[in-house]
Amino acid sequence: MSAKSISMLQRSAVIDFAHALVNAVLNRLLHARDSRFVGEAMQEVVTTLTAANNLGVEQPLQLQIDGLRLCHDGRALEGPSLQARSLLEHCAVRNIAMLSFRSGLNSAEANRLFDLLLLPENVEALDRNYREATLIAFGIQHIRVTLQNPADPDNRRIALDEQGRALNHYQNLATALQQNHRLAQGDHELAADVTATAVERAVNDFDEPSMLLSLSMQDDVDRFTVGHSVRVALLALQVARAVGANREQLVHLGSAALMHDIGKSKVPQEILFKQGRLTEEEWQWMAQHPRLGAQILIEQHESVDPRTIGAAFCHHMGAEGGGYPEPLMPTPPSATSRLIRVCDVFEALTAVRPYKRALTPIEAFAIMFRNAKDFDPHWLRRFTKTLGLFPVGTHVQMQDGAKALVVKQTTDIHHPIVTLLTGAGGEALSSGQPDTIETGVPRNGATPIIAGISTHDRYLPMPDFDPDDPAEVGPMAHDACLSQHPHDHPH
Amino acid sequence: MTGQFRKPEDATAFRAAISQWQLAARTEVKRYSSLPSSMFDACDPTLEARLTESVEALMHFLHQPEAEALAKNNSSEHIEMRAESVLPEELAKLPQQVRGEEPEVNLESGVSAEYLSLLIDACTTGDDATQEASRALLQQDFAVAINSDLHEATKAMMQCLQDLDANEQEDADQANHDRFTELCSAIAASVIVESHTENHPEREPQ
Repeated sequence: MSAKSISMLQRSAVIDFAHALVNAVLNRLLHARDSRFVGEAMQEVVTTLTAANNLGVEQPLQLQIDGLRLCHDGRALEGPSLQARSLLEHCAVRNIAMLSFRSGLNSAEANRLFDLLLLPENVEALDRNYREATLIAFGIQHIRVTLQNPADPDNRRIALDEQGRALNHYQNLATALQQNHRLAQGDHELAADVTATAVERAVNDFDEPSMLLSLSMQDDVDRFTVGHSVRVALLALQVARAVGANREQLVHLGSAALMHDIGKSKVPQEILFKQGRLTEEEWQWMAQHPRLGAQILIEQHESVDPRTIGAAFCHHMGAEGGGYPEPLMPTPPSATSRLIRVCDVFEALTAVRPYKRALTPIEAFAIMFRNAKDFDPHWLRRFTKTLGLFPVGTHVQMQDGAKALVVKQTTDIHHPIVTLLTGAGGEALSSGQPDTIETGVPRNGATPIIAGISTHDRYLPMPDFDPDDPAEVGPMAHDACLSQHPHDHPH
Repeated sequence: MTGQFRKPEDATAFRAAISQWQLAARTEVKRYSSLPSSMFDACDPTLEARLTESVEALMHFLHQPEAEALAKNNSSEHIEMRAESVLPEELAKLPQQVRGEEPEVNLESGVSAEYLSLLIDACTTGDDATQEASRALLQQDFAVAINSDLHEATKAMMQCLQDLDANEQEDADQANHDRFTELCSAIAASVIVESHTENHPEREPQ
């Protein structure tokens, strides 16, 4: 571990590199070794390594592997770790404790590393007896592989704390989904049972999935279709729990949400990952993914739960019509599909995409209410109430300048419980000062109020919320669509 | 010269790669040396390999990756960024918009009608395999008698609805609405599936 701490910019560059590495593994598992997608993924590894180098990240860039997480400089890279299960498992089988990358790496060399890390015939390639010869033979000069020392107590199997268990479940869900996307892409029978099992285990282990959710709300979360589906599933489970769904319903719902984008496995990758506007023809392809997904699921020999088929087909359909695709015989989407649609849009709005920045949850809520007619109004409100305007894991700044982290919701959606990370004005917390407070509740003559939200790249100030005086903030013209819902405008 | 040291792209198994590399290395070193291999082996078996490695490192240095080209290729300048803006007033009124009691939600609501609608859609828009699978599911899960007349199909659907009704536990309005939707769906299903099979006799289930 380096004694020198790194700047936020440098850490962000390391996270980008780790994401690129994880993405490269996924592409190697999904595509032919010498396909264009693998080539581009390897180039991204090289580019992000170069970028980290240019920002002064200590060379070689070392990624430690602790079984569940990728770490750098002794700190876990939670976001990249969420989808790193394949990489971590392959490293574990090979007893790899650390991978070190030096500048000068090229994409072909990176690709050869994955020959060693991923191919079953190379499980022994990095054993102490072969490692040096293998690296030379494979022309790998800019990557070093450090093996675990069996005597090192740090390398013994770690007991999982709550966050470790959450990460484990997240990885299980992501892996199950990756497996099914690969199977669907190759026209093979899906492993729907693997998905259901992963969901069931997560449901059984976590009465309150907010820990899982907060994992996915960090700034450095993964940016792939699979990650999107996992987060949609976690969001849907969170809301369904809040409305009292039973265990069986949760498993059905979680599986449906997890598989809702399975049709994308049939959309050409050039279209799916195009960084720019789609042509009309490309859009027609893209718009087919819900129907393609339903058809994939219908064709399975083992019957797939109807909710899963429905979610695959209906997650872009409006609650009262609109959206796509248009079924031959229009029928309103089921409650399950309508909930998944809300979660799907929210996740898309709050996720980073190459063509847009991530919106904060509260901005996403505002946009969804602006377009409320596209959603089931009950689910939209329940969803917002369940998550709260400041979901667990949100970094906020209090009016006195203290920085805090949202740790729990209350019945008041804009007054969560927070853990103070600093004192007033950003100073260190004084001894004896409580570090967990309920916002909006007066204490010591002052009422702690959230002044704004901090993300890794911006600060969003909050307005004065005044739910008791709706006249003060009347509806806006473009919200006319909400007027049909009496709850929205009680006066 | 470097090319001969690099692992051939079609040899991904490490033992084969090591063997090929050793062979290439020995050949290469021999080419530039008048000394027999046995002389290297006699003093230090790894000397030849290390010599090769040094040559390889030198050649790698001379053939640095095309970093500039890679960076250019990954430029994001061509991406059109989209920005959604939200007004403070919109944020401020969120608590009002969310406020109020919500009716009970039944997660099972509409599942059957939706499922039926999708099977019918798959029956008519999917490829042969999808059509066959969806017809089988229509028969299995909804007792849609594909080749029977409309009256029989509707009767079968009514039976199906009565079965659903027996399991229905939610409030009457919602249940009635769902049942009505399912009834309409079922009748339409019979018609659509029947007319489709008439128009495409070659696609009738085996």
